[in-house]
Amino acid sequence: MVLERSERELVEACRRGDREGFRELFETYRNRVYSVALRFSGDEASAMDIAQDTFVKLFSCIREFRGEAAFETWVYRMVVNSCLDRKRRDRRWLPMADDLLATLRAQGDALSEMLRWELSLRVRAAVDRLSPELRMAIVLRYTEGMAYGQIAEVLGCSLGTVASRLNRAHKALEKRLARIGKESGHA
Amino acid sequence: MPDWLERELAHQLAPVEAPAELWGRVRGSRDGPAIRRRPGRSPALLLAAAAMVVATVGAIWLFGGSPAGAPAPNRVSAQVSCYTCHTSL
Repeated sequence: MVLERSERELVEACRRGDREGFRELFETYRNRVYSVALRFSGDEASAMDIAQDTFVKLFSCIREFRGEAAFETWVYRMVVNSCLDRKRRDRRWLPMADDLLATLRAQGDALSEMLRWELSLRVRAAVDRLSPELRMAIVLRYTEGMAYGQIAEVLGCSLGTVASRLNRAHKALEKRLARIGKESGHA
Repeated sequence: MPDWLERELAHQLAPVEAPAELWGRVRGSRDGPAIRRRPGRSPALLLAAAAMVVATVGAIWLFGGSPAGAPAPNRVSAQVSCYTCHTSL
């Protein structure tokens, strides 16, 4: 059986409409769901909407969960779908890194601190510019620390596809961030 | 991929804590209608549709009867079978 006993009982309680069960399940997954939503969307307001949407769907569809996969995988699938749905609806999320970089550049002192900031913002902006499929693979890998096999299970694709997406994402990020990496003394 | 980028990705994409107000929003959505209902069709639209149906049925009743000279369908098929059977080449 895939589920841990306590979690299975929790899911059963939620199926019966137990409010405390819902709350407990929410507490178990809220940080993971919100983290994926935030790292994928890049902004807090969108992340809140995605997380809310995910939990509402999760609670209304919990009777459909049959225990064929791990419950955690099922939750991740829900948040991935909510992220991709929202991305399709919104079309464009603007990374704010460039504006912030312009402000930071204008201040002119504490060069190393600025470079550190710049690197941080550039990394986020570069991730934001990846296609949704590549970005989701990167978020699951680095935010949730998932192994390739688990990413494949969540995304419903093969191990080879996951490896290819991560490889393409790494290459794109490396290319975009090579200059700033050299400037900040990393490369 | 260089190590610094691997480290930077892990650092920049690290998990975060969900804001406390998330539960309030989820609970609010669950207590409200979970599935948004489609807005009901307006009475004017329903009346217009009913009027269209009445007008169409009326028009068929007034003008749609078979012309005086035209044979009824069963007679046509009878004639066709008659010609089929009895016409010699």
